[in-house]
Amino acid sequence: MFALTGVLLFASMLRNCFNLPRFRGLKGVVVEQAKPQLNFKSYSNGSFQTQTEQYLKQHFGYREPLIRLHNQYLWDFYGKTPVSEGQIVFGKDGWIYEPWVVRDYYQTLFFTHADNAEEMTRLLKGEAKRLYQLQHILEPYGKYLFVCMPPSKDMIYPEYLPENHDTRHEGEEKMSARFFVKDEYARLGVNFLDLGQDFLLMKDTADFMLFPTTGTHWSRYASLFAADTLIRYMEYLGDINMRNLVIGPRTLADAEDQDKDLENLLNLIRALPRPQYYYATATTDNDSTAVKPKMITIGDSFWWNIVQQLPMKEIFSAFPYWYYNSTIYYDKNHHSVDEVDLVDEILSTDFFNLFYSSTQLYRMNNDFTKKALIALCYDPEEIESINDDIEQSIRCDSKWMERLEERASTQGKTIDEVVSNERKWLVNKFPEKYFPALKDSIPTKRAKRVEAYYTLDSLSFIEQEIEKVILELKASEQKMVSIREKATKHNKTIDKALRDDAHWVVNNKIQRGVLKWHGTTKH
Amino acid sequence: MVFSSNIFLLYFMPVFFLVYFILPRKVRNYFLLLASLVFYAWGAPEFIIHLIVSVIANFYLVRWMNKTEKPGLKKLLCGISIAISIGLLFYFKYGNFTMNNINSVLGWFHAEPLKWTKILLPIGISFFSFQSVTYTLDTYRKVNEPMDKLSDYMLYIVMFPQLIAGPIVRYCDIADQIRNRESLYTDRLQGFYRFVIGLCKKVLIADVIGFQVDQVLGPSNYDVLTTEQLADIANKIATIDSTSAWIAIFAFTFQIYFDFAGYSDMAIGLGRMMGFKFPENFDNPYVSTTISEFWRRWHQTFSVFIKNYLYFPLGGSRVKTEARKYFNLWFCFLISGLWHGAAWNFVVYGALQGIFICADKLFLKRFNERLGRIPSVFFTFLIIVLTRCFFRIERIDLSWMFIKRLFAFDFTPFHFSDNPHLYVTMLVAAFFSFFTLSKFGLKVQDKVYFTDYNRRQHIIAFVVSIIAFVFCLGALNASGFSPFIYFRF
Repeated sequence: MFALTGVLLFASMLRNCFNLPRFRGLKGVVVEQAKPQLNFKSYSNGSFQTQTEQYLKQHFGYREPLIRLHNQYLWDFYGKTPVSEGQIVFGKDGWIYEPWVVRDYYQTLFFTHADNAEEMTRLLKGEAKRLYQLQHILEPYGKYLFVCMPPSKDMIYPEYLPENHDTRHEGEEKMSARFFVKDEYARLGVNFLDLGQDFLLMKDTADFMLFPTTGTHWSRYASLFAADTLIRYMEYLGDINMRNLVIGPRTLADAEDQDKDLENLLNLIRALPRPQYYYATATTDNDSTAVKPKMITIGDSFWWNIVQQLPMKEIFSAFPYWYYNSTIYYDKNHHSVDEVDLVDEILSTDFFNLFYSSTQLYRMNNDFTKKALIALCYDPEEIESINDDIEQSIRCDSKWMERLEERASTQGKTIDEVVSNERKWLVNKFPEKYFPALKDSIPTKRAKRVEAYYTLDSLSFIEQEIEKVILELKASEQKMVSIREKATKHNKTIDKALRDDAHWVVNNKIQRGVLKWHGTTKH
Repeated sequence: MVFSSNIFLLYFMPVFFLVYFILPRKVRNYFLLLASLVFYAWGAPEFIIHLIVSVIANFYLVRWMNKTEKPGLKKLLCGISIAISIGLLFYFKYGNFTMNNINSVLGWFHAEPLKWTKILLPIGISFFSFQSVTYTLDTYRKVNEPMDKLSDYMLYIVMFPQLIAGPIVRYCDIADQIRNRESLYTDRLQGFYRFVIGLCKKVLIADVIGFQVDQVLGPSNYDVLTTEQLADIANKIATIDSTSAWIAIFAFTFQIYFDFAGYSDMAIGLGRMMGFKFPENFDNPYVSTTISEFWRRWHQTFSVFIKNYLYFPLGGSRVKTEARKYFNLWFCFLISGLWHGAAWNFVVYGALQGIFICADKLFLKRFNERLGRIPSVFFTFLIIVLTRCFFRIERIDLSWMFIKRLFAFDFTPFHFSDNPHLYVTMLVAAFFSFFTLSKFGLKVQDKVYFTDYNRRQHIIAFVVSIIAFVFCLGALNASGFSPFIYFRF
């Protein structure tokens, strides 16, 4: 028996050495511990040991069934798992929610991100102003920035929310960022597509679930309708013709992973009780006259259901997804926004989709607007010089430096790193103080590269190219037939339809690098 | 490396026992020594050299002390040896504390504080320093001959099962076992069962309760906290209702017992698998009818150490005056309080225990006898629970504030559904803490812990142990696994 005990103790190691039968993997993402590197420093300061223990904790044999077994025990006996403590709130009739979604409903969420409603109002107003500025800087280039807010589960299905989750007492401040930004965008004229409103309208008539009971994002099927609305909005905004989305026949099936993403986090052995959901495949029509704009989406995880289901390549020439304005997906050339030349990227893009659900509004678009405005209004040399000045002013303040030195020692960073972080924090907190051009309602100052793109020369160059393409199109009877059809369909004159097509042909050529304008200064 | 970790349970322990039992008997001690050094070097890389050097120095000093015929030199060498062990303990454990206090005093006189770089406390130093002292003193008192081989002495000090958290094994208790011991298959199996019992105590009871206690009282070590975090804890304590306060302190009382007793069980179990018979460390302390009895049942090896190496040298109870006798008792507990941690709250904790011990001798014992067994057990338990406030909350002002909250009678309704996992675990803890109040409980305990098993009992115990071991592994790993749907930035 002792020998058998030994064998059992070795089972975990043997499982990893030999490819023994695998169990259902664990769901959800965690920070993966890299394989630790052994050297004298890492050993003597203990980091090697800590990392090894962390690594083995994530990679020992039979980890998955052991964790599922324990979670199932906790679930069956106490109705909880380690995840459910912090990340899941149990509603009525088997519905589950993320806690911040519940707090958003009770209008208390933003007090975890700001001291009071006044401060949050100030921050949201500042961000709305920046959106407005950016939108108006980009518009003359034929580039459109818009805010698209997906619905959140609490907004569409509040009837299943748990009671007694209103953490603010009577008389205490409450604030809904969702309603506030909606009014503010309307006041300023920021392009805004409220998909939540659409979903609310759909709720009573739709014969399918708009949100799954055990998921946190919109249902796979419902998100297809949201995508259709989005495409129509872009067509309206850019006055263009894009391919139409065709949603295929639907089938009822067990929940796909995305429709039970919250339940998956529980990592139980047995599934929670839940209904079946509809699924369908999305394609596009074959409108050869449709244009394929390039769209950058900067947003949260609600976008996954759209980008994973739509035939994106048929609709867009490019569709990078700047996830929380940090990691880039669907872009072969870049993996992180830090690698991107922001001005180049902005000038080669047609649509900017700022896609954050209401619970993520506190992120202020993860500083995309601040960075974009600074990049469009200031040259890199100017930015560098301003940054140097800020760092210099920090270094000249002995009390400030004392605090930073203390921080450097507690965080194990160099003083240069800490000063640089402090400078970034200051710029982020007070962008207008250090980059005064941003104070204007619509900044007129432009970086040289941007200014150049804007010159009469460049415009006349593009105009000439458009004229050339119009002549080519007119020479082709086949193409003219399609343009006439399009003009009728969109109620345009033939000349307008011809010109729009030619404009997009030229634009696409510029984007693909086939057509280049070599002027760099205004004449 | 701690026993309740993946690296120990799934890697170190299986590999160690595989190699240990494959090797011939005569080299097993060398391998055990090597494994113990690896075990320690894993957790305290910066201290392993200090440990080895101090052990070697002590070994040769004690040998010299044993050989010399000159009483003066003998005494001097004994003193040096003890000074090395206690000096290291004092430097590493109490250096920061002492300097902080000196600087506080200097601050009162507006003097410049002394410069001092904070020292990290090496794991297990409180335990192996004491073992080293027992070796020196037992040899000095001619209780045992010194070890012939340095490797055997080193093994006595650094043997991994009891290196980190005891039991404090006296040299005279284990010297023969190091030289010659036998490990029968029943020892190996029953050692494994004992190990699993300890693991369950630690993982399934102490850790579950501890997590909840930390939510209320903050982490157990306040040294690592920032001013803001400390202020947050102070605020929590100041506003805690009496129901939550009582639950928290009862929970901690169970947590500390199951944590420490679990670790001792694991150590004793590991030792038994190798053929060592380590002394017991806990004997159902919460069924004690007096505080004196409690200290005979709680951390027994430490109590024995204090009695033999501090109380008796002070004169014990054979002193001229009653006052001196009580002072000796009180002083021993004061020192034992300080041994638990380098902070004033531990001094207060020790002093309070000493006061209750003296009170026991004076009147409390008689009072308890009049109360009857069961009421006196709960009365004693209540005293233990209350004094634990000073043990858990590492600031005297906050401990006092907490005690005031206990007696503020600001009770809120108790709802079992608020935290069923905690309450069920506390009930289980309470059940096992007081189980041996009954004769049946004592019988079961003797059967499980101290009787040799027959074949059928082995099979049942084996299956239960394996299931419990697997369950503990699940609990250990599930508690830290809290994934997100997607990464957020």
